[in-house]
Amino acid sequence: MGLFTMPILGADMDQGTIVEWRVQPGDAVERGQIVAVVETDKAAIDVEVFESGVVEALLVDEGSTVPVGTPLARISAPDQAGATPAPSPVVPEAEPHDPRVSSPLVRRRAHQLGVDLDHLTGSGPGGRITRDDVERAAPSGPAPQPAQPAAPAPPAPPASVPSPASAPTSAPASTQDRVTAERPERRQRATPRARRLAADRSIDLSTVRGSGRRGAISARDLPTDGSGSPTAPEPVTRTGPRAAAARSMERSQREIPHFHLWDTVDLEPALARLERHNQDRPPSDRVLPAAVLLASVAAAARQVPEVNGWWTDGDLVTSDTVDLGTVVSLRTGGLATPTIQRADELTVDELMVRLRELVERSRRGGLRASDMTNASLTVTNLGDRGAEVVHGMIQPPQVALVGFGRIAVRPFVIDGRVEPRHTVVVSLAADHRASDGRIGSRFLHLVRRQLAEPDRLPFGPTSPDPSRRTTT
Amino acid sequence: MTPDQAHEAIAAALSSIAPEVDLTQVDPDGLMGEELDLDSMDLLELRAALHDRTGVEIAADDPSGATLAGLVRLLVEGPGSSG
Repeated sequence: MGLFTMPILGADMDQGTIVEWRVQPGDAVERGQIVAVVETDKAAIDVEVFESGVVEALLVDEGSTVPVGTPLARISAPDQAGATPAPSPVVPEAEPHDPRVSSPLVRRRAHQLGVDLDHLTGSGPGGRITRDDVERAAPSGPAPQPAQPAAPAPPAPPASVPSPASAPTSAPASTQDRVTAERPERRQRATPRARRLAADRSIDLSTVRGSGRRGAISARDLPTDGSGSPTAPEPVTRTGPRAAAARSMERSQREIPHFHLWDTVDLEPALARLERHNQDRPPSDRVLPAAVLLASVAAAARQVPEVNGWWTDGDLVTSDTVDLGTVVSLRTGGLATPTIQRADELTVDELMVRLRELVERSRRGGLRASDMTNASLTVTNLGDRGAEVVHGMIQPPQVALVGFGRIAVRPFVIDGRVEPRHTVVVSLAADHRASDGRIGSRFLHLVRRQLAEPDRLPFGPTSPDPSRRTTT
Repeated sequence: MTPDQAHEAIAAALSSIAPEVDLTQVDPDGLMGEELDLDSMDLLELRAALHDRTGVEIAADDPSGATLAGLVRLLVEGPGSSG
């Protein structure tokens, strides 16, 4: 039997909120299956389970915020599963068991809302009563989840989580059984944190467009300028992705002795190679220069361990793998920094697929726990409309950040002549405790060489292959 | 395909990339990337979605695919006629 615990989703995460359970006791789960949605300061993340088995019990309610490492569910190993009859999971309540309700959460919710399950028709599989059924039947729509952590929460950093005292909509646990008239009157899907923040900032949730599933509003969807309270600037109570990024960048500026190097790289050889690679491919299979740039960084980082790791306890810890953090700008403002694991082992095509997935999940929701593992080195790419050069800031505890400015045609000297060439400025922000100018220069040299001699890049089999050629 | 159908296809393709965009507010001759704040990944997704919906392939370096008006023309007339 194993315990499924609150994962760490990013280096600076210390707690998370269970927004939604995707499984119920008795469900069989497979390794890699998404079982819950967890909201952190940065994003709502789909969390996978790392072992196959049967869910025996959910230990934390939806809406609860618990520290990293808190047991969230009990999962029996597959060989033990036979011993646990799936239809009658371990249920903590001593209430009479209604076969149509398999989830203790649903039962608890019904209890909270004063809904009589005996008079309810279930809409789930086999007539099962779902949480939606209960909430629809509630006298005044769903109430916000009472804040009821399953484990004592650590002292929250004041900048990240509003205290319960300042959250008018969170009912004390002792009153959770009563359904009061003050509860929100309309049904609007929103995470508990979004409800609290909206109440704090006097934001009407019905005016907010939710980016989550079925239009659910999460904290990041709320206007960050506190539009409801123009006279009350609250510089230290920002929450959500921007606040998390702000804390990380403050720490970076405070703790890391940065130095910056940069180099202008002739991209013509790499772009010509890429054009051949993309020839005769449908739009959905084409590779962008961004993936080629990532490949060059991954290969260079493998050879320069001083830029690929973390500064921990006063010392450099180098990483055995090159796990590249990427920086994705969000249309709603702010950034996401998901990770491409083992980027140095991927082909350019595979890097492109991963990059597309991460950009899509960052912008449209659905980032997974495995997307948020700690990066060993981060790459920021300003893109087509970005500035020429970026002198970035390292994401602690990493020890370097690689930046690419805008790719553009610029004058470049080739064989003693000035020619218009596609170039890009690659920059390195590095931690002077972990490396120096000589090491950094070597790293940039390796990036430049990869791009100058693209046959060194992992383009894989020469494209187009015969099967594609027949389609043209 | 009529221009109206082309508009519809573009709006549908954009709905998952930039859901807040109202095509009627977009300058048809402005660069889509700037008008709609789309980066190269968004534009790739747009071309891929239009290809899936209409079968029309728009090359990344085709300048007429960079504006809304040009994109509509490509969808209506087909890429062959654009030279």
